[in-house]
Amino acid sequence: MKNGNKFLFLFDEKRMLIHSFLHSTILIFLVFITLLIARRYDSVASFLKTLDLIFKSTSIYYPITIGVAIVISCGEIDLSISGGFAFYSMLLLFLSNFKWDPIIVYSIVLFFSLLIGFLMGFLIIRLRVPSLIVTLGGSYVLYGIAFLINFILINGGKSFSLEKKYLIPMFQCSWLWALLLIIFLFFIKYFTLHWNQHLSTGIDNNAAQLAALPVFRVKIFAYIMSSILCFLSSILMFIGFNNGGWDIGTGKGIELIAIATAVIGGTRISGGKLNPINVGLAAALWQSFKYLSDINQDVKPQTQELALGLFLIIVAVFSSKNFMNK
Amino acid sequence: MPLGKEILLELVGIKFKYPSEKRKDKHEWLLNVDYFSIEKNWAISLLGGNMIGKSTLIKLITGTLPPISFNCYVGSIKVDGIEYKLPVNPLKMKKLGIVAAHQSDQMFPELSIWENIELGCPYFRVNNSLKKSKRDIVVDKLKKFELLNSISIDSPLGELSGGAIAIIKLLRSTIWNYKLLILDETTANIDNNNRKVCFQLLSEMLFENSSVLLISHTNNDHLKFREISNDKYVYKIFTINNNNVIPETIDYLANRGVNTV
Repeated sequence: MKNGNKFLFLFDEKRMLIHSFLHSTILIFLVFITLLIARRYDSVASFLKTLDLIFKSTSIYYPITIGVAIVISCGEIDLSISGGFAFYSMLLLFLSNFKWDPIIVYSIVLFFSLLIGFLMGFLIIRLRVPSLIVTLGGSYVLYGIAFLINFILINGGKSFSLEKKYLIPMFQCSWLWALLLIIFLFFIKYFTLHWNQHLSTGIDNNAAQLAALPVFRVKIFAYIMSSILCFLSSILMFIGFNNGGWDIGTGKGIELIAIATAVIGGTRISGGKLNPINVGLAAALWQSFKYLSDINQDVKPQTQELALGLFLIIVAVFSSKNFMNK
Repeated sequence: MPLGKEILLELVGIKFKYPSEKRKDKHEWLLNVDYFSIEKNWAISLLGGNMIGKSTLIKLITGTLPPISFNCYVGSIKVDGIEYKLPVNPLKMKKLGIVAAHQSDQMFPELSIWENIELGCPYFRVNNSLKKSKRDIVVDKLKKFELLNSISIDSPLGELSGGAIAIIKLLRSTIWNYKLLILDETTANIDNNNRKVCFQLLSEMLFENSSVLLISHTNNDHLKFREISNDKYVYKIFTINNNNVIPETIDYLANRGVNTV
């Protein structure tokens, strides 16, 4: 045994839990502080209304952020989500012009998200192309196709907003999806071995390979999840927030924000650590920064980037192993 | 192939080379095994110097080599008579009970002791009763070997010493009902006390109709292995020579200069 002190071992067992709880508390505290700075509230009801707004917008971005966090925690990276974000809604818009049944249209878009996730995962794991390059290339390709669809729609004089029959109420309820996602992740964590296999692959890929863990399955699953969750976020934004209207520029640069948010939420950039709740709270913090700069005239829009950057560095320093050891 | 024997694993026409070796000579194989079989209830010592392909052979059997070109593999593996073409799926082999504990690190210090042991399970889910029974066995064993004196099974593995981690590694490989257990220098770089514990644990985890293959550069390890497996298993010695697996007589160890534990 390296250390014989019983208290230290007990401390180690509880340390992770206390650390995680403290992290959540700090994030919640920061969300509240940011919202209180944002504007003067006439009543508690008005504050709760703002909180509800933050919650709704967070639940739209939560799937995309957790998708990125899943990929990061297994030791890879996904930069394709901004391209995917533009592409999936554009594809939905394009297909809706054919007046097919909504189930068919949504199924085709879902199939594409599945296929894109699988292809990227296959290139990264089987052909060993660095994930940074594959996903960056994937992002540009998806953007390119989205622009092409945009061009076809403009030249063909097609509609740029969805018909009513495609505005499925289920996608207007973004909080429900966030809740389902959390339940799904907790099921995976507490009722299957996949969660630990996933984290182990992120901790040490070679050791996971040697321990005969399903590294291929873990990483393919991560990329497929990220792609499907990107599709979900895109559709939630399209239907729930934009009410069926779409601009191709929506989501530009979202991949970097999602990575920053995932890290602020406790996802270790080198892999092996993921906390779905804290990632959600970090997404809420980003939304409250956005709210602050949107609503408060005294605060410049660049402030949200500044605050996000500062928090990112602070979290990275605190979570680094060297700091903890010191 | 001998008749009337219960064959557990067969290597049929296996050839293997690493991609870098292709440039030197395309016919030069690191391993060229015509036929090699392991029967049930065998305790096998596999001997040979460094860099002759012992660990590579084990990784071929368990499917744990990193993905490389399909041109580097020829041949197949039969488990209980069912043929699997190379490269084999590691998870499939694990499900079939072909497990290995390697010398190199395959543990995860940030996960708990139990989580590390649980990773040895080949399935997506473990039902609660099986989980509880396995956990109880692990706790009993660890208590017996005084590894849980000041920590619990849910403590991070990183808190244990290298020797204790080797014991956990062995426990992970044996707890999930193996058919063929391969110990690839698992006891290397650990002190004598922990080595003793490892062999004691191994002697308790030898099951009927299974087999164990040991790779070690230490003669004493092989002699101890022969001693503990004597009651249940038939002891065999093989070496890797000229890229092939060759059977040796029982006196092989004595001829190497050591004949007592």
